[in-house]
Amino acid sequence: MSSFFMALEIGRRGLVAGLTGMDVSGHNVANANTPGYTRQRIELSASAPYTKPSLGKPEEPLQLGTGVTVEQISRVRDRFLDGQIRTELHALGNWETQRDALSEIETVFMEPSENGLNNLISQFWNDWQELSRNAENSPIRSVLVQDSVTLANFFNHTNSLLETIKTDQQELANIHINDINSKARQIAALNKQIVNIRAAGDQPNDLMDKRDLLLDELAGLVNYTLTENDDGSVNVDLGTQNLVDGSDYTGIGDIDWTDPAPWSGGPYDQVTGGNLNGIKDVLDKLQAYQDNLDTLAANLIADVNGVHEAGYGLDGSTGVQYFTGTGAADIAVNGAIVADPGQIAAAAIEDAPGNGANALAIAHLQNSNVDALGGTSFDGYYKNMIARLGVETQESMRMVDNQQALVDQLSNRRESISGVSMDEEMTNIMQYQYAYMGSARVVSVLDSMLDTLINRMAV
Amino acid sequence: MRVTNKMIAQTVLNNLGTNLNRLQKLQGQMSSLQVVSKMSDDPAVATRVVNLNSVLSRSEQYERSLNDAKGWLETTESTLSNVTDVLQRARELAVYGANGTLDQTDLETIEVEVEQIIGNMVQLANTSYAGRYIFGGTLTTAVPFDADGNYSGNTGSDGQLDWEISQGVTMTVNIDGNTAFIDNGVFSALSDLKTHLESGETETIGNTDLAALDDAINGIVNLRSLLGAKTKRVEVILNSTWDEKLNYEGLRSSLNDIDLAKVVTEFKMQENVYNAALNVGARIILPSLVNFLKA
Repeated sequence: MSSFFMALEIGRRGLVAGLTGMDVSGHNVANANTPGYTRQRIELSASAPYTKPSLGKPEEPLQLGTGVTVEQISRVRDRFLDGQIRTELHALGNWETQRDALSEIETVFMEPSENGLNNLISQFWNDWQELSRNAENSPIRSVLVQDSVTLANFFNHTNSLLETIKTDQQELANIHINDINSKARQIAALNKQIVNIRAAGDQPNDLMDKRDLLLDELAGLVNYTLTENDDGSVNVDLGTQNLVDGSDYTGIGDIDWTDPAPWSGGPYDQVTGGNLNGIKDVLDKLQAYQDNLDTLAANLIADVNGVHEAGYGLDGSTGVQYFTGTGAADIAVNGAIVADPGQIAAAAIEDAPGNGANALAIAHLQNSNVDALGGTSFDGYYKNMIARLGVETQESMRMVDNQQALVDQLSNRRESISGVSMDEEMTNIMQYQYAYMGSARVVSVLDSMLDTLINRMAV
Repeated sequence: MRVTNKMIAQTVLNNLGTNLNRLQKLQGQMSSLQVVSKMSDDPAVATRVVNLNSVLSRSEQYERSLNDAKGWLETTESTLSNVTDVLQRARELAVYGANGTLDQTDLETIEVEVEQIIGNMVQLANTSYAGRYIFGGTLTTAVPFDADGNYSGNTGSDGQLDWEISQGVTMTVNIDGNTAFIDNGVFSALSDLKTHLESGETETIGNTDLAALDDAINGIVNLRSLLGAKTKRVEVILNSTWDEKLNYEGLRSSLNDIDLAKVVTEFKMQENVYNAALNVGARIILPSLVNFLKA
């Protein structure tokens, strides 16, 4: 026969379960907007039954329930989705970095606009054409000199802006590396706490949420492989380079940009995703644009000078360089010509001020195909380059949109599984409230039964 | 699918962002009146626009070349027309002078006029256009003829002003003084006439000088017809350059100019969508069971 006090114990267990349920729902509601938070669920089960021999059936003892126990409080999470989201985050980080940098490069070239290189070069050729018809005219010479200075300055300025973008990206890469190291350290610290708590038999739900959030953030920065250990800790590897091993972490060093092949050594050649890979790719693209601009400037200098040196200036000077310098960084109009535009060699023969044949020969360079530019004209070479810039920028924008849509969709699915629904929590709270009220009623009924038994029965 | 409040908020936010992005793009097109303002807006169209910009800039340059050439040719032509008139007058005087009935005083009166004609002719031969001597060959900055009609400019290929009037096509726009005046014997005919008037050799005037003047007039008229042909050619090319420019401008405009009515309509539609999204968002974000449970 069961005792009164056992029934009281069952009531107490019900009260505890109801209260814990309220706690968990309250915690969920409180964290409804916490980034990375996973909703928690209380897992209840009936406690081990008490077997008592029956009076009626001695061979078949009855099983009497002993109430409820809280088994554990668990996270509702789909680990497979985490992996998918992180894969897409690698790509998203990669393209976002490229989009930002390429948009910046696009702004530097300012095409199509009045102030782009395309117009300046056209103007430069037009000025030579104009000079060929007005060779003795000194205002037209001055205009040519001024337009040439503008063109040379554009090369210099564009080159230095590209150089600035390059330096910025390099600094950004090292900032990302610091960030990666800091996240690896935090993950290792969380690993340690999680292992300790799990060893004590508890579920460190909130710590695991924090670790998952860090892993999501790390996924945007760089690609990695994740291994889960039996003790609840995780290992993070960048290719073959270990970042986190249980409670230990290995930082990666800053990239040495003075190295001619900065990405070739160490862990850097294993980078294939995330912001860091975006920088790696965009630096390659940037270098290609810078090289193109340099090639364009170098050939312009060489070809214009080649024709110019063969002609004669108004003062009979010949063999004068029109441009000085060797590339986009240092192209400039010869100081002697800026000081005295009369030295511009418009004439093909000496002492013929009206002869503009040499100026016309320079103007004809506009349509000549240059072997060093892959057999295209100066204009064509530049147009190919900015068309490529347009396509690459557009591609990066599209890829960001696509990846963002994928990440949004997957995050939505994750939110659908792990997110806190107010309606659901409210319903749960009511459910636990009634369960609690029910258990409380059991206790108070037992109380009055005991009262009857103890106080009211006649002695 | 289980739907949470955060999902709804996130979806509303994403959609509002997308709508606002579209609005911004349309707004940019309306304010710049261009379809592409960056290469990445549409690389294919942008590349063609950049191409058309250079083509147009070049054809404007050729247009200026052609107008300059036309001006130069017309100035030369009108100068040579004056030269013809002056030579005609000299011829009239020669015919008059060849008349044996005139006495020496009369001849000397004619000689004075011939001398003036020579001065006149030197002036015409030293005509300048936009500050440049048109008959000096490429020595355009120095006076080509002295008072006696001696030529100091250059001639032959050195004296040619070759201008590019369309891609790869050059035209010699000038006639040097040697070809125009010396080869045609303009000054020698006039000075011979003057000498013979002075010496009273009326017969030589009638035979040699008149013939020399006729040769000079014919030579100049030939040059004028050559100039006329060149002017005609320049005009034809100029017309086709205009047509070409108009075509290219039309093409650029069709590629890059926005259809304002269309864009404004799209903008208006997009604005409505945005407003609707805001409205719906405001309605669905707030309520949950919390609002309906009694405390």
